[in-house]
Amino acid sequence: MKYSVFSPIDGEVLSLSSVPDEAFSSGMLGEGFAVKPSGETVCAPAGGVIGTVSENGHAYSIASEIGDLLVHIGVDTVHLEGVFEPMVKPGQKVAAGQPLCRADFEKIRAEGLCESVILLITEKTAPGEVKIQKGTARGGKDVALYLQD
Amino acid sequence: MQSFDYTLGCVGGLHARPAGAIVSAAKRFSSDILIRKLSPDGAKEADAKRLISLMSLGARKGDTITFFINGPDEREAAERLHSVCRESVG
Repeated sequence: MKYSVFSPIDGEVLSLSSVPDEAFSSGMLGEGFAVKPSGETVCAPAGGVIGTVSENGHAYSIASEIGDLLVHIGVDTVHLEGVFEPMVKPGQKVAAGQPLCRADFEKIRAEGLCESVILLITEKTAPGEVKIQKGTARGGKDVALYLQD
Repeated sequence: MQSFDYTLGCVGGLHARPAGAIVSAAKRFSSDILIRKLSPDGAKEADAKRLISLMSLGARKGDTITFFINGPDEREAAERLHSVCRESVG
């Protein structure tokens, strides 16, 4: 596998169709996968440079060799405050598996929101077809997506 | 060249979902589409066909963004994007 992406967190890798928001589940924003988390640290799914960190820390973009990646923690979490603790800044170089953020998934669940960590390739620059490896994965260690020639 | 301003009314500003609505509409046109946000520390520009570029504007509720559309289908693109802003961005 020349191009691959790790799960960003410990948990269960699922297809995007499991996400209760059409913007993600329809693939409109890009191809990718969702992870139902069992851990609390969100890691860089691939090496690259951090592009953006959302104001409250729920979304991160990474320019990687596969293309633009977006790590989006939960659905409708843009309004939550005090839930995400970012550990990176825009412009920073990151290695695959490096922690991006700590998130309080209990609080997300308590708000009645979906807590899945979503990984999207919003702009694919590497060649190949996107394949998802579903099932249990360790964050920053196990491949969840790869490109097949 | 077509251009128009839009003031964001959506809580959370231009986050993934509203930005995605703009990107998927923008990608259907061949014109170049640029979005500019003015702020006290200068202007920021983004490519409307790239989600993370748009999200990196950090546009919040109440901010005004300006669309600049240049190309063969600029008129249709401006109309479509304006209605996407009203209907899907908020």
